[in-house]
Amino acid sequence: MIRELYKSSFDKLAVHGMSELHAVDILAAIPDRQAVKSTGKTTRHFKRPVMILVAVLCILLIGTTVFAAVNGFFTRGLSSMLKADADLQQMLLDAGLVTIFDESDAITADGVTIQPTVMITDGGRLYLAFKVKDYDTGEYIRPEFSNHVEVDIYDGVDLKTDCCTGGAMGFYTETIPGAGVGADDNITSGFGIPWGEYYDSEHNLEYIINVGAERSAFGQTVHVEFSGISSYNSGWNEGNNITETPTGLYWAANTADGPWVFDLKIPEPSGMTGELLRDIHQVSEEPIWKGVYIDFIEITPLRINVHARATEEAETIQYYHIDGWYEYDRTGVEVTKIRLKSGEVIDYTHDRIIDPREINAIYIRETVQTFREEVIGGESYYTEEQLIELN
Amino acid sequence: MRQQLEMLIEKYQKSLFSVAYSILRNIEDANDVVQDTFIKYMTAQIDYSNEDHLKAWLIKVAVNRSRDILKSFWHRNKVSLYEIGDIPWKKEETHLFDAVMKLPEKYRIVLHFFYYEDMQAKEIAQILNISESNVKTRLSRGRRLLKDSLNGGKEQ
Repeated sequence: MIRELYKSSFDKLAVHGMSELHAVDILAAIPDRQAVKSTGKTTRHFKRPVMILVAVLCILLIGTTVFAAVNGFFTRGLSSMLKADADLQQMLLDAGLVTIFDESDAITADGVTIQPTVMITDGGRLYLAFKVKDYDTGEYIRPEFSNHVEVDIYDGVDLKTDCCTGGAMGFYTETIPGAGVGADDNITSGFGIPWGEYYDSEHNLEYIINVGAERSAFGQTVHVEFSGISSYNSGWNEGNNITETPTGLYWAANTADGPWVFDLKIPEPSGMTGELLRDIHQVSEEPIWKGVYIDFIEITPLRINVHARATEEAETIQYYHIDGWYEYDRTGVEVTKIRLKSGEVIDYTHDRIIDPREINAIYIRETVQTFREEVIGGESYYTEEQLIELN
Repeated sequence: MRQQLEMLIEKYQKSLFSVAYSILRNIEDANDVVQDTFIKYMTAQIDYSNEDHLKAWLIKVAVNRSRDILKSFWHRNKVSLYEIGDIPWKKEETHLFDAVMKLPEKYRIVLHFFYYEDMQAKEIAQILNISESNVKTRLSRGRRLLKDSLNGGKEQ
C-alpha cells in the first residue's frame, strides 16, 4: 500500500514539476558548463598517484550550421556536419578512411528500408550515416527509434560491448545536425526546427552515428541495431496517442518495429600515410602548466588527441571554501583552436575534417573541476591557454 | 554501449528527477540535477556494459550531484519549499509525501530506492557506496520512522 501511494505521489510530482527536457537542451548546455570561472585557489596537499591523462577531443555535434552542398560522396548530413569540401573528401578516400555502401547493404523490415551509406573512421573516431526510406512521420513530427539503438565495435566474432567513448547519434536536421531533436505538431517546432528538415528531396531520412572507439577500430566490426522507429509529438506528457513500449509509455505513432541489424566491417586503411596520421612525441620538455607535461600529440583528419602527464604534486588541488575543503581534479586537455600553415587560426569547437599536414600549431587548455568520484558540476576553471607549436 | 540522448531522457528523466527531489526537496534544484546528469552522460567517456549498468550510473551521478547541491552554501541558506500546492494528490498521498520528506536524508534516499525504484538492498548499496547491511539497517529504521510519523508519532 505504501509503495503504491509513494509511487503515485512521486509520479504526480513529476508531472507537476519536471521540466520538459530535450537533447538539444543538453547539447546546448555543454558549452555553457565549460565556460567556467577563474579561480585563485591554493594548493594544500596531494594524494593521488601520478597518472597519465589522456585527453581525447570529443567532437560534439552541437551548434547551428549551414548546409553546404559539395560534390563528393558525403551525404546531406555529413556534408553539413563535417564541413569538408571536395578536396578534403578526396583526401579521406585516398587514405582509405571511407567505406561507401550501396543498396545491397540495405535491410527492409515492416516496410521501412534502412541502408548504411557512408562510414568514415580514422580508427579512433567513427561516423556512420544511414538512409531511412519509406517511413513517413504522418501527422506527428519527430522521428525516433523508440525501442533501441545500440552501437558496438567488436572483433566480428563474439559480440561483447567493446565500444565507445563519447559521441552522439540521431536523425539529421539542418538545424541540429546529428542530434535527436524534439518537435511539436506545429509547422515549426519549439526549437525552430521546421519539420520538413528531417527529409531530403526524395523524402528519405538520414540517421548519423558518431562515436569514439576505445581501441583502434580498423579491421573491427561495427554492430548497429535499430528497432521501433516511431513518430512523436512534443513532450513526454502531452498528446493523445499513448504507445506502451518496453521502456515505458510514449506518445508515439506510426511505429515500425524492425529490427534492422547491421554488422559492418571496418577495413584496414590502404593509404593512411604518416603525414595524415601525425604522431608528435615529446612535445614539451618544460611543463605546459605547473607540473603538467605534454608527451604526445596525435592528429588525424578527424581528431586531435593530446596525451598529457601530470606530476604527483600537480595532480590534485585542494582549496578551502566557505563551508569546507574542496578538492579539485584535472579533467583533461582540450584543444580550443588550431593554426594552419597559412597563419589562419580556426576555432576548434565544431566537427570538421582537417588535413593534418596543414596544421602547424594548436591551442590547448585544461579544465580543472570539483573532484569526487562521479560528481559533476560545481566550480571549475580553465588553465591558461597555451600555444603548442608543431614541427 | 551508447544510447541516443533523446531516448535516455524519455526513459530516465522521471527517475532522475524523483531521486533528486527525494534528496533535495526542491523542484528547481531537482531539474538542475537531471540536466547535469545528462550533460555528464554526454561528456563522460564511459562504455556501459548494459542497460542496468547505464541506469545505475545515471542514478549514481544524480545522487552525487544532489548531495553536492545539498552541501552547498547556497542550498543550505535558501528556504526549501516543496512547491507542491497545486499537485492533485489524494489526502493519503499528501500525508505519506510529507512524512517521507521530513525524514533525514539518509533514510529518505534508501526508502525512495526501495519504494519507487523497487531496488533490492544490494543494488541500493552499490549506488550509495555503502554496505548492504547498512542499507538494511537504514531501510528498517526508515520504515519504522515513517510508520511512526504516519501514525502521529505513536509506536506500532
